[in-house]
Amino acid sequence: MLAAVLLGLPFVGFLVLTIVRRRMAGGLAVLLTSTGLALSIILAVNLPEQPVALHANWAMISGVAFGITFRLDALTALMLVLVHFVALLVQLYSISYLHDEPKLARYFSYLQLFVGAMLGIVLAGNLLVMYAFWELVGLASYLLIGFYAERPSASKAAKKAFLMNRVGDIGFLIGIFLTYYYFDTLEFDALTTIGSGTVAPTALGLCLFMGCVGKSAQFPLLTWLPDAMEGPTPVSALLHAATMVAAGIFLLARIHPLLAPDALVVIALVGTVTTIWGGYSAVFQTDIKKVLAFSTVSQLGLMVAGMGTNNVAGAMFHLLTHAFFKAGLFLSAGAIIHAVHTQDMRQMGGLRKALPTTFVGYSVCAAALSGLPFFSGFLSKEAILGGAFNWSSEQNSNLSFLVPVLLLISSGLTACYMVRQWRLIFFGTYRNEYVMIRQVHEPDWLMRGPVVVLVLLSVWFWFSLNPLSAHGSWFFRIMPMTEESTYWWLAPVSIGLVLIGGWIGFRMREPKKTYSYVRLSLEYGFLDTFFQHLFINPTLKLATLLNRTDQRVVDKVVDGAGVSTVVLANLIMVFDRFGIDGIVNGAAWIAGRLGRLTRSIQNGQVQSYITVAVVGLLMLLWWLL
Amino acid sequence: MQAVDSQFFLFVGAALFSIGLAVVLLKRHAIVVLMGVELMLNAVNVNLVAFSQYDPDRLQGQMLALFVMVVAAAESAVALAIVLQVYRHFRTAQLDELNELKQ
Repeated sequence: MLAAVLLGLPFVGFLVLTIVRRRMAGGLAVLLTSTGLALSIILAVNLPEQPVALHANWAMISGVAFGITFRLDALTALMLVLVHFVALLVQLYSISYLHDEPKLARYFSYLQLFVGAMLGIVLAGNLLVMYAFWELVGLASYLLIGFYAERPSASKAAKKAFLMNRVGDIGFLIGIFLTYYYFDTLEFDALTTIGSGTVAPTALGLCLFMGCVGKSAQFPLLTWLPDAMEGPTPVSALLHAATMVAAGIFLLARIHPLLAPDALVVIALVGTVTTIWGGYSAVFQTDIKKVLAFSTVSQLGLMVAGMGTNNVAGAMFHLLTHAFFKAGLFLSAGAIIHAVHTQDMRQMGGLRKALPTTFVGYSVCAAALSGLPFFSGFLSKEAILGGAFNWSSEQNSNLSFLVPVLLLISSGLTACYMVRQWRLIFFGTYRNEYVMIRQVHEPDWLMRGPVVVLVLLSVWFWFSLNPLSAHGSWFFRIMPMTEESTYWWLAPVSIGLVLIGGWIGFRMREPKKTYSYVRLSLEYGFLDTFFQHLFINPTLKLATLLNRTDQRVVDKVVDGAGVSTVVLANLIMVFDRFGIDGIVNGAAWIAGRLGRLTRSIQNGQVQSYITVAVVGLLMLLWWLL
Repeated sequence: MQAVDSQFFLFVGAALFSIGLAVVLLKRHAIVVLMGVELMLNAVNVNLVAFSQYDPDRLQGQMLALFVMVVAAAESAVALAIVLQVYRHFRTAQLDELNELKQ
């Protein structure tokens, strides 16, 4: 019941907000979301021990029932609170950030749709329902990324995000088909119990994972996420923290029992590649939001690698902590963009005095992201790294150590690009020629408030009393870890790597953009170029070819058919006119002539009648005699 | 008196008949046409009389010729009355102007 209300609220909001006036929209949206937050907290507190499934029949297809199921368990409750909370802060922030926007009501209505779709994924009790909301998330992200539709780059980015998600979604859909094929059910309740008994096929797990690859921007479908920065900054915060990219991780958590060991290895590898790829791509970016976007890619890779190394709880923990500090980073970045009217970090610098609150907030969130102790990111990152080392020690191959080692390196990389960004924004001299440093000022409290809340939530004690370890955290009580890591050296090594990476990031000179290693980073490993040459160009060529074939062959055939019909019609017309009409007219003409002939005989002249009679008589006589 | 060969009677009769027919066909005035009819009747009479020489006892041909004359007289009286009425009605007795049969 409560779940239905929770799910209904954003969709009602979506419809209502499209018609209200723009001044009311923000308040109404905040009201709806805070109601949702209160409800989901009530739900989380009163959560039953066993998972609850609400079932309703939806369709019967040749005797097979497909139902709408919603499922309530600890994971759901956690995500409900998280999504509502981040959405609430983002909406509060948006009221101020977008106060000049004429399409404000529509913006909030899209946000509600986005939140509602994400809640649907979270609450879904079977793969079918999840897929439906999954697509809705895709739609909402399309609408929001392309919100500034008047900019060609924004609509292009929205299209790119949507299409790349489609690629993953196709895999997801095939995975759903495979699941049904093998297990005759799509309900999570049944699937979790089946999965523990028999091993699901590897292909099934990989296909379902493709959905996550698309939605959570994993290698190789990661290029849409940086482009998605074309959307309004609060949308980026929401998209990177609570909705959209979290959906992929959540999917993996839900279907984890279905993943075969081989599939898990692939997932771990993809996650590792993604985290390194994203991390390296972030190092030389100059756009403030693109750095954050690639850091999200990198962190998502970390979470996926956590999933792949059988560490669901660790990955979900990182999802939770990451949501807070990444939303905080994006909202701070929004404040900075709001102040200096540019996203180019080369035109910032020395802002720590002009924007003190934002500076502190950004520093804390960046520290959490980099994984410094006393911040939340450290705890969750350690959980994932520990799980990864546990996993690799259980594998037979020595190469499996590559995964945790690369993850460790990527955390150093994270520190490097975050510190570089931090330095470029807040240190050095102010480099913007268009906005005077005197004009740079902090935003109002409606924008600063959410940042402050998120900053507070990026500190360790919300999650665990021990700042150096997540052991005994409340999180792992509701989501037990499979095994605790026992590597005493892990924390010092990772802190050391973070410090080294940070030091490199702080000292490094900005290299020229022409160096190949810089271009490799700026073009995110030339993935887009690769796609362009491998898929897009051939597709376009094929399209051109088909177009030409269409024009030259199909159109010609159609044209020819038309022309020949006309010619045939003309022939028939000629035949009609001279043949059929000729016969008819000829008959008429002959009848006319005959009539005239006979009429000329019957001229009423008695004498001519007699003449005819006589002649006739004579002829008769001549014939008879 | 030597008997005239019967074929000459036939020639005269045929000639009279032809002349009468020509008058009937070609003349435009109704009374002249009536005259033509009389000629044709009399051509028949000539034939009748001529052939009656082969029937010297009963003279049927001559008797019939007399009947023809009587009937012809009556007929021409009726016909003349009709012509008179036609003339009164149409103000003409020219046959080619009377094409009432056409209607």
